[in-house]
Amino acid sequence: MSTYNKLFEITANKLNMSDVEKADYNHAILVSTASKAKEIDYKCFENINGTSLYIALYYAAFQKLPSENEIVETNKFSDEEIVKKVCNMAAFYIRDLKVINCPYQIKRNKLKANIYKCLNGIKNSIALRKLAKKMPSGIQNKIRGLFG
Amino acid sequence: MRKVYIDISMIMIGTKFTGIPRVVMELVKRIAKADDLELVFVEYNLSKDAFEIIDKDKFIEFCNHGKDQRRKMRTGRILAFEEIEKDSVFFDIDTVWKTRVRRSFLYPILKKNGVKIITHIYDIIPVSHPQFCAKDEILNFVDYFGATLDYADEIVVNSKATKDAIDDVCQTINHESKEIKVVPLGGDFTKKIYDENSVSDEVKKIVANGKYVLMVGTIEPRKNHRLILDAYDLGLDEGMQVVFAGFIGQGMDELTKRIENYKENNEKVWHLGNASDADIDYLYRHCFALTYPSYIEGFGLPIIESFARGVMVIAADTAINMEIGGDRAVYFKQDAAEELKDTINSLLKETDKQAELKKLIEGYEPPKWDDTALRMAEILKDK
Repeated sequence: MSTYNKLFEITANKLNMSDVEKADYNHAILVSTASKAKEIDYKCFENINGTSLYIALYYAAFQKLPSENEIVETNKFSDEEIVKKVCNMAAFYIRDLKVINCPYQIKRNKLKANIYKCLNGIKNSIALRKLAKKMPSGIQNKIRGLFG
Repeated sequence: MRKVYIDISMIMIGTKFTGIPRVVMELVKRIAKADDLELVFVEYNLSKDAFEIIDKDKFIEFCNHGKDQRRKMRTGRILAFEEIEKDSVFFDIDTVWKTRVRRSFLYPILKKNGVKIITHIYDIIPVSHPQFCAKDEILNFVDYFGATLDYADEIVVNSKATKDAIDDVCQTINHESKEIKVVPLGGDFTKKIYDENSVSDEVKKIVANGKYVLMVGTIEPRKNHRLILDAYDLGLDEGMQVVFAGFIGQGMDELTKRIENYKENNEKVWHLGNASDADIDYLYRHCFALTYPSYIEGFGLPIIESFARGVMVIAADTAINMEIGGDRAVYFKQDAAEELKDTINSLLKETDKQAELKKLIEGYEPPKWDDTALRMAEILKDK
């Protein structure tokens, strides 16, 4: 077990996590450890399916975990649908991510990519960040969801 | 001249400079004056997937005077991770577990290239007390902390309590122990003398109402504001008020509602979400005592800020509080509302005890930032 998984084991025990939750987050850690900022190697995800795949891929892409609602929504998705869903999120384009060694064909919308890449510059605008911080928390969460 | 690289990606996009960013700024502006050290500030550049060098003089100016020229600080000079030189130091001192560049990715590259890695760990709360952290924060912190344990040459912490916590973790996961140096943070922030006219009417009204216990800092679960309210409900003597000064963090809906109920029922519980520095200073100087019931802290600056103003402190008996407070504070059993109530009420009656504490606090000299920076510089210069 890697240092990372051992550390996570400590926290999971303290939180009395269920085995399912533990397994999901262990997968997320395994696939993200030592990963590059802009690249996701799908080879690391080959043995992960369904909800676990969604959580691991989402975390690898955005360094965040999906909400409970989002997880429930993807319960009925195939692995291919899950991958395409994540790769078509605005935050995926804004973070300029790419997936390598992926068995599924991910059509990249060039126009969307260019528009969202511009938004990344906006994301780092200090003036706009200060403005966003003053907004109600609901709007702030929506903005965070967009930018990842 | 030894080069020291510091990733300030989070400060470059930050909107508030309290807590860790404040510490970073206090330290680097001092360390920058050290002989034999050349600080190089870097920020992650998304389009180049590498670091971009930040103008050092403009950044130090920002740290010194708050003149925000961050837009003009980016130099356009790109530095690939692999280009960080052998025998230089990579000094991680900011909230780097939040950045795009995972340390589990970066540190092996640096290690392979003979770069010395020194990581300043403020606390390990996401591992030791994960119940107070969001799960993604925990996972991000595990990456950073795990990489630190596996690759860092040295760890710097601010208290023995944090050192002990890290040692415990190493023992639990059977990891070789790390070299950990304890360097206390400074507490002598530049003290302004505030004109009373700059204090808000609301604050003056609260102070005029009578005695109050104060708690300063973000309202979040691990600070345990709830306990003070429990003690208040059990009955504080002499009409003691409760004043909370700080922003409301995530997950505090229940507490917020509870405070609103007190307000609706004309109870003496106050929350100031946007207190200015002048307000905070005034509240400190006129309070009966600072109450500090946190479950866990990285350091405990409010304790130092209280002593520096001659204010008594009533704190939970956690290792970190007792390390920072020493014999100058009064302690109660952590999470024991009845005991907190009794401690406050006893202290109210025991004027001798109050005098004794105030004598111990009198002339208290907070640790100095210059000393902290000097010690950090020595560590950075060490071969």
